[in-house]
Amino acid sequence: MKKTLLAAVCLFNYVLATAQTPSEYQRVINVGTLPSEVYTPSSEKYQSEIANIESDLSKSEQKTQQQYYLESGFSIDEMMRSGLVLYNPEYNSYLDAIADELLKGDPQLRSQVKFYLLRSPVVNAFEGAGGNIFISMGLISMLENEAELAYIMGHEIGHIAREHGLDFYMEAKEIDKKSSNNSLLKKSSSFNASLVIKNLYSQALETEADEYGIQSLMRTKYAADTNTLNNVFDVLKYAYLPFDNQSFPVDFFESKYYVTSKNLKLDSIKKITGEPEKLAKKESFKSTHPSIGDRRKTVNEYAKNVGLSNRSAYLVSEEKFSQLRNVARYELPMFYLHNHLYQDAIYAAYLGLQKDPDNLYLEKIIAKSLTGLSKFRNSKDDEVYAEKARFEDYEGEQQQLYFMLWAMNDVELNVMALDYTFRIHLDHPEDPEVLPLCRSLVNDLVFYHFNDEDDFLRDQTVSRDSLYKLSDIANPKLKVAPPSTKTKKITRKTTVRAKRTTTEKIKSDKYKKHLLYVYNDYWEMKDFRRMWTDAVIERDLREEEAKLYKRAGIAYKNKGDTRNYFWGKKLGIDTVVVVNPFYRRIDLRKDNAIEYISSEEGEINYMDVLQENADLLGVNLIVLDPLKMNPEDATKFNQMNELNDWFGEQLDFGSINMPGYNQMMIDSIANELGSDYFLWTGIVSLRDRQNILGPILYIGLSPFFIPLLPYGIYELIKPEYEFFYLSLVYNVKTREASVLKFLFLHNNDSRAILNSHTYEMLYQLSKSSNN
Amino acid sequence: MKCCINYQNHQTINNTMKKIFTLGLIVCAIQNLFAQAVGYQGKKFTVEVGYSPVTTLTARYFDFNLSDAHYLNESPILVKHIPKIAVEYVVLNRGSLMLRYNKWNFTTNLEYSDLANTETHLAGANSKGNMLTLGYKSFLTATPAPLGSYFGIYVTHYGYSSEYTDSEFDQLSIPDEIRSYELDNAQAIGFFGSLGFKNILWDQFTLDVSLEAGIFLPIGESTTYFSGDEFGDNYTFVIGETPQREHIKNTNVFFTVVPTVSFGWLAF
Repeated sequence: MKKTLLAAVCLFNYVLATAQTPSEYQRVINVGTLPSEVYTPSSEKYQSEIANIESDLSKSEQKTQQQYYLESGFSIDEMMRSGLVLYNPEYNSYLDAIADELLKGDPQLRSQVKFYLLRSPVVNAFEGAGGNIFISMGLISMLENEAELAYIMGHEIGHIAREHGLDFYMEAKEIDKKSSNNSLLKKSSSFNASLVIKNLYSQALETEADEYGIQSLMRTKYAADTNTLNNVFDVLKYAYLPFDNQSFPVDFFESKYYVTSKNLKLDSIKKITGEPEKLAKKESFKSTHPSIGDRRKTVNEYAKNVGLSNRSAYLVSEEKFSQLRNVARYELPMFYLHNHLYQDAIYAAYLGLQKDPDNLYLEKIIAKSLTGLSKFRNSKDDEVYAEKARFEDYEGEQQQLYFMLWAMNDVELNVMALDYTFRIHLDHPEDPEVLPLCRSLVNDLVFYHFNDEDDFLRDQTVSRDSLYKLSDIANPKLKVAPPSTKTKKITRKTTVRAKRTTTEKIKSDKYKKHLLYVYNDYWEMKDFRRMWTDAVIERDLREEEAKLYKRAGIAYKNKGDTRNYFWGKKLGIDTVVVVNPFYRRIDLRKDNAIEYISSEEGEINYMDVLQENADLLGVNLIVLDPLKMNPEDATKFNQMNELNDWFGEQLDFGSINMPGYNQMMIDSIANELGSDYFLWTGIVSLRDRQNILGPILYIGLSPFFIPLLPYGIYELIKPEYEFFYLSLVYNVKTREASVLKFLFLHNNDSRAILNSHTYEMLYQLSKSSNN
Repeated sequence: MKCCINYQNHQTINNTMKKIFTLGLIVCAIQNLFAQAVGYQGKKFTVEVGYSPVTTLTARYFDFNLSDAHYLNESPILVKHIPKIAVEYVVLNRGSLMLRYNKWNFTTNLEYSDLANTETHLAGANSKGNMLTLGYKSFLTATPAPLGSYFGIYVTHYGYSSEYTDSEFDQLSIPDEIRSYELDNAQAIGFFGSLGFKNILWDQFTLDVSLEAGIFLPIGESTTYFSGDEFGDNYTFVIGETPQREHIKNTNVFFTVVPTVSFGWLAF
């Protein structure tokens, strides 16, 4: 019986530990009840907070506190609605259990603090208004055990227990006030004196939080020895590195017919140095935190006499810790991808593949990263994402990957990315995300580098923008190959027999022309051939279109596999999903320019305006906005976040035509909501000081024409109104985009003006051109 | 008394002016020609009631016991209150057509020379009639019509009759003969430009504030000539007086600046 029970327990533990089997990794999402910060208007919370401000404070202190609650409350709520924060009881309860251990003796403080995981690759933890503490998944991925996590949580609890947030805000305001009155500080031009004072104050608070953290850890049975604590500071020291340092093989992308050039092998890897432990004295005031060395020293002072007896690295659950860290490590590549940090994404996915070699999710992240990198390189439209990762700046084994991708020329990168991605398609033909990536890469080959597959097979010098032949395998940046002058127009009718060869022959060919043979096995495949044919047809159509535009004298910049943003007129859409409409009011005449309360009111008002005008036009409007959600709307909240991520990506892509990084999810959301059309819209309303010349002119002319006098006075006292109105509608499946509104008006955004524009926008969206 | 009327504003009809206004109208119509008219929340038709205070340098001098010289130098300003009714229909994304009716009375100073006594006298002209205005408003703000600031081009038909009355005093403040005489119905066409701002006050009620300025040009010639009877039994034309009766034509040209405030209701 005992054995059976033991077996059952073991099985249960195994199921728990492998609840997410890595090869079937599904991204973590929000589940359960949403916290009130998400759906409750921040202004309501603010009103209740300022009611608790002590009345015996001076008026100026009361005002500063009010401003603190306003700024911090609204900022935290905005973050909690942004999708950056994870609400998932499975992981939140684990953090809560650690907090219970840390605050066993202080139930009151325990009831004040709440812990959340932050979906970010940045190694960071911080506290915000309302007792909310955020720990990034980037940080979790770097930790070794639960005790390290507990120390970090203790440190952040210290900030809340000592009310550092409010304390620092009040002090900073006081410093600003003094510095504006103190002529000596004002005259100091060599450095920002008030910033230095603020930083020194901040450093003192951090030291206090460090002390609180170690003391709270020592009160528990957690391992609070120097080794554990040093590991935490090592995490901070090496925060700029990936969570592991494994060598990246130069043949990682190789396949049966693709052989990497030896030029892509980096001779030596840059050694890891770590952040300097000790900041030079003259530099120390530039940081808000004490140097890592100083912090290590402070904490080690407390921990030096703590033994390991009766203490453990885990008090809650080792399995849960490794499960959480695993999830963090699986999520990291996707975070990088969303930020177009392609090399980081590939390396993080590569590290994951070392433990889970056949993981489709990770393989797809690599394919998506290669596709993104290749398309940005090809388009030359925006070189930011393609060029920013200079391999010289990176340390450790990851540098090999950075070098490879930096050194490959555009053609090779495109060819290799297609090879890698098509191989995934062959292994997982049922996956709907991979083939569109392949199509996108083939399009680029046809649009930028070759007329068609015949040209490719003949190594016909690239006909369009690319300067290099397939056989020019040397890195052009290391040894610039001259552009070929042998470009010859080949008619499409010419048929060239595909060259066939063997791997051995390719290898013996001293790597020359090796790219010619990459797709040797694929040419016979219908899917592969079809992609090329479609791309050629699409390219020819685009060229015809360009000619028409040229004849009409209209500039046509849609070159390559790119897309235009069209002005939306009569799109004939009957159901549209409005995603998280925004409204922001900014008064540039004030020190605190952002008007949080009226911004929130404006957002609610704008949603009403949208609904009112949609009703008039008979448009079925589905609004996804946190302020319209209920506690049980976690699914809607997930959908909104996914869509916002997708929208951010598409904006970053600009004219580059590429599926979203999580396109499969977006397609399923569209199916679920019953519309392919999603609207992103928002308003920024500005108030500024009036230009005084106009009103003075009116008043000056009023003796000649009396009605100008009241008008001049009105112009003088009213602010300068301006507002920016943006509305973009996307077909999220085809990624066609239409700009419905892109306006900058010198008007007040009155209800009537908003009604007028919103009705027109929805009219253009809903009416069919057949009407 | 031998005299002739010397119209202050006498001038010939300027064909070039007509052409310029016509061209302006065409330019406005072409503006946003292909844009769709959406109106305000789908409503394009507005019924309006307006009011214009019309200031005029007037010649109701016989109400005052002052000399002609006084009026020549300091004409009193009188305000006429003109109610208006109008309908407006949005025809383009940023444009609307307006049809307006109002009664219009105006007075002007007239100067005439008594050649026999070599003195200048004043007469007052009081015109009464109906105006029908067709206008096009082109909205300047990038907001669908009818909202925002606009400029308008209006064409006005003015059918009126005028009555002239002599000053009761001459230049020496000696009581003079008072003569009144009336012309037959006459017509004028006005070309106006306007600048204004239209907003929604609440719900579907609009407020339109504008300033119109333009010129009236007579249409054709009046069939009525001064026969002499208008100036009394003793009036006889003297050879060499100017203008001769055949020269006295309906060439009443005048320029006006009119502020207008209108309240409207977006009906459908």
